[in-house]
Amino acid sequence: MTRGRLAVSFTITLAKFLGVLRGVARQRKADRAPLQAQQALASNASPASDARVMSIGQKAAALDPQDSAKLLFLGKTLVRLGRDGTAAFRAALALDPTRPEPLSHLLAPLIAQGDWPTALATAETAAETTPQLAELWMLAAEIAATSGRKALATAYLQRSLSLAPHLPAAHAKAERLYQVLGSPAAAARRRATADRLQADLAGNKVNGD
Amino acid sequence: MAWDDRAATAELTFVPERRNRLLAQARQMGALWILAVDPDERIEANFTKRLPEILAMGEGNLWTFTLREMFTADSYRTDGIWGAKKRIRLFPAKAAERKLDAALHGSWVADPTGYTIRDAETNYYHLRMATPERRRLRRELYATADPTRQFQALGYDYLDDDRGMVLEKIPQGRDFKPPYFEDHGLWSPDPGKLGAIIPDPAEARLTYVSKAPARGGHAQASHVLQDLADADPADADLLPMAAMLARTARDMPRTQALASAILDQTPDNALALYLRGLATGGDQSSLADLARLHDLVGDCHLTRDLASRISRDTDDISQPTALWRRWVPGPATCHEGAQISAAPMSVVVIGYRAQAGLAAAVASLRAQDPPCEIVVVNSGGGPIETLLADHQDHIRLISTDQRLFVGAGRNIGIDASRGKIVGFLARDCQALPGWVAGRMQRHDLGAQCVSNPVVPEPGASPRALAATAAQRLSRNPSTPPAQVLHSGRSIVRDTLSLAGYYPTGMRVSEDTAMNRQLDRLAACVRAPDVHTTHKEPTSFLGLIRDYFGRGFRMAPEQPFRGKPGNPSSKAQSWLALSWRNSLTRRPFAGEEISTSE
Repeated sequence: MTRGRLAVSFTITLAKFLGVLRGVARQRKADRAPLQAQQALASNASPASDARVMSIGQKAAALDPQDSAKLLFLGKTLVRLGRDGTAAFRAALALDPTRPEPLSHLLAPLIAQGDWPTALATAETAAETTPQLAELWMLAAEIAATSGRKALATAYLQRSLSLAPHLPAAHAKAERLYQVLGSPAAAARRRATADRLQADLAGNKVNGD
Repeated sequence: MAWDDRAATAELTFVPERRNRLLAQARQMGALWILAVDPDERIEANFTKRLPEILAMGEGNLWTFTLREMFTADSYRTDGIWGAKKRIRLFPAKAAERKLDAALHGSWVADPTGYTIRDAETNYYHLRMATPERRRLRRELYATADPTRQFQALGYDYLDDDRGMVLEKIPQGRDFKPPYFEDHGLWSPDPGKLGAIIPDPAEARLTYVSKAPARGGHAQASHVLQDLADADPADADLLPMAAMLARTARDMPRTQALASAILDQTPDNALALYLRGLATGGDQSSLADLARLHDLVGDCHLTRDLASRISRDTDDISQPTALWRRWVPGPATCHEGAQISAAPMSVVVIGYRAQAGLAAAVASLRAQDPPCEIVVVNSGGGPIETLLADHQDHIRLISTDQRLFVGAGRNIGIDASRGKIVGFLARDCQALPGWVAGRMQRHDLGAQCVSNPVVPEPGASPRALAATAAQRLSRNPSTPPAQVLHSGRSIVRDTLSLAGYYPTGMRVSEDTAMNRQLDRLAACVRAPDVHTTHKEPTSFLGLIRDYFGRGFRMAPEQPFRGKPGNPSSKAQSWLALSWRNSLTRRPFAGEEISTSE
């Protein structure tokens, strides 16, 4: 490497390093928020402490807006205080579409209101954004099943199972869905498979060569 | 040092005992390092050149090698779990002091605690599987030795299953010596003498199905599910699952056949209708399947997706209900140029506030031969029509005053383009001649994703040259294949739809997140002759400001954002950046993030 190139490399590395340090310092400050919130809640469960927790959550999200966990925390805090957490949950999902938790929170009020079309569209968009994630298709299947769309629920259920065929929990969930859909024979199949997979897991087998 | 068991009388001897005795002997002879190789294995010949450098990194390291299972004399298998096997084969003698006790498939190092596991970026070739007969014998041997699959949860049937197989020839310069030759049966006992050969139970098969797709092994996983469906026809979920995986493997004839078989039994299976509609793409029967699907499930993702694929070539992209508008939270305009190229490749140019470099980026794409469909997505407002006045007839221009991150811009471009292949270009980049042709050449040969290097602009200052070389260490034309960062990808639209969409909330590294999904579906092919230029700041102060900002934006991403309870140290951050910028030598590959161009 020539001396000139080394000098430029060092300069840009140093500049980047300083940038990273600044960013990380903000993150560390923001990372303290959940602990501060817990302390505020533990010290005094009053409206004043609720307001303080919300302020901590907002500050953390502003300091570190690229962390879906902090946005999720903010959303949950808003909901706990009886306010709308949709924007925070939506932002958390936009940052990390592979985490089903923000989606569940986003869907909860829609399900509570019985707004099935919007709930289904929201779940479908999430699954379409990350189509290799079994949980998201299963969520869409659950909403379709609850809203009485049997054929659609079965399609999403089968797509979900194709992504997690080895998980007893996936088959157990499918069993419950088939019960909701009024298909006891299919439910029994899934239960049997879930039981066999669970027994296999209990055998502590190793993944060798 | 070698183990000679030609005088053994038993069909099988205990592997840990053999290994323990070999290791003890090595230590007794004063060995500091041990390279463990079985008689049916070969390490790539040029490894000896790199060995001194590896050993010089100290006795705190255990070195993994990439296991290549040879399926012919000169090619190995790469699909699914076959392409992901790594084993520790080089280690300091002191790491092997604890006795081995795993009866089958154990590592040479019983306890790696306290050591750093590094990748030697070296192949070792396993010859045991080089013929169908050898594969059958290996499966039968393990099936009898491990009848309950206690030592391998995913079973052994896959060892002898060639369906969906993808082979790769040993690359030039990575061959081994001595060459493979048939040894007339000396290499295996008769499995029949050990006990009954029991096929894998359904649980093991399902475990295998879950593992195989990790690296594009969807085809074989689909075949296994079909086997299970054949064995248990009353389970109506297995065949749709097999069809879904066949579709993910992009095996459309098989998807169609499986979907038709499902519909023969259960005409109301919506997933099968959707899959058959996709497989027959655009012909009369797919329209009939779409109509039937619509009757069955109404408006939903399945019907919308199938309809958009069938009518993509003719849809009015500027209409108020166009699909791309879902990525814009407010109003947006779409200008449709009168002379947009109808080409197999679409390129999405992502701009922000109509910054000046955008026009040069578009001009570089218009100069390509063959031509490409150009879609410009500009967010944050600005005089974009004026800036691109010379190009307006030849592009589709989508503009919004809202500020969007790059992921949303990419998604808009995906939905608002028609090409079967989608590429991307940032506003501060240009495509050099051959950018489209070189990519198309690889895609025509079957590549699902094609990545390329970044080079300095023609006539760039020495400072810019050095900055590009340092910043793009993993994306130089001369970067060794093992250290290449596959960024700047063009992607087959069908594969892209299986991977999903880019995260819309990430300020940087949205491409890294997407590439993780893509890598599960198909290997990326690098096109070293396809060059993108990146505009570096011209002043020294500008350079410092630019890279400070890059560092700040990188901070929320790995490896700079520490794991919960284990924050990254300043030293780790410095090391990661030093590697990226070639300050410190990066001799062996590790995890590395990319940022958008």
